[in-house]
Amino acid sequence: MKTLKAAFAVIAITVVLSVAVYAAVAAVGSPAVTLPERVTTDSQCPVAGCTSASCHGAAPAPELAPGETMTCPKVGCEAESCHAADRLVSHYNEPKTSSLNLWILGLSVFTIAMIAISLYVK
Amino acid sequence: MKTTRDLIIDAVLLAVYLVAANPATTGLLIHEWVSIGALLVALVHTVLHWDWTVETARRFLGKLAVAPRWNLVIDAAALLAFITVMVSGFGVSRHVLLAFGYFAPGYFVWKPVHSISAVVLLALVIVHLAMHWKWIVTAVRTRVGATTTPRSPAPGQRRS
Repeated sequence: MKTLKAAFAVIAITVVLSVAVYAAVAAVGSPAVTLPERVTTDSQCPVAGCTSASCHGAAPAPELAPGETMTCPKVGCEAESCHAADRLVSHYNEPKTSSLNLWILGLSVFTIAMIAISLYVK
Repeated sequence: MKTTRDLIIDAVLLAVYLVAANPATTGLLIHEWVSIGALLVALVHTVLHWDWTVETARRFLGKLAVAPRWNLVIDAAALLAFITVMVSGFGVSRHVLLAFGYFAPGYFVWKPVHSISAVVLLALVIVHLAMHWKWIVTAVRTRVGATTTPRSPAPGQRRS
């Protein structure tokens, strides 16, 4: 009973904080941030803003051919010089920053190893 | 018994988290599904320490030693970072949401939120581990010592 109460409390806090985080980001990122939408054949592609069902896999968008445009996901414009176009074709869904995680982990392991060695030698 | 259970759950949580925290190594498919597993184990971890959390929070403004006070602050910050990582993770999800037939608009808003909160969470997890290092070492040493070193029976007693 005690564990059940704790579980309800933890889940309730998680839900409340999740809603708060979503609301805060949605307020800053409006109108781009909305609730998840169901993917249908006529729903707008989250990558390029097109309505082609083939790009719903959210893979990096294809390179633009001369004269082609994409809807910029940041400001909604349609221009080849859109500031997010390079990200659409290179950074989209690529876990680039994880290398930072490896750096932090590596440095932590190194520090712990040094402390352990110094304690062992002492 | 309770310490053994906590130790096992903590070890599982750490292992699952370390896999989830390295999407460049595992790929996004594994990253997304393992992260959901990490969320579930983290919730169990929080539930198991809920009594301590409530008790420490109750005494937070009154008389309380420095260590539990900082522990609570770090834990609360880690919970908030974890939830931010989770919510923004759904915002940039490529596999999990799509498996249910959904996508989340606003990728370019969620992406930096996800990256920054993930790094903050990793830093807080390291601090959390460092603050509990003594407990971890003692718990592991006691259990490993108990299973690997056979105790000699007391005089006049038979080994069962």
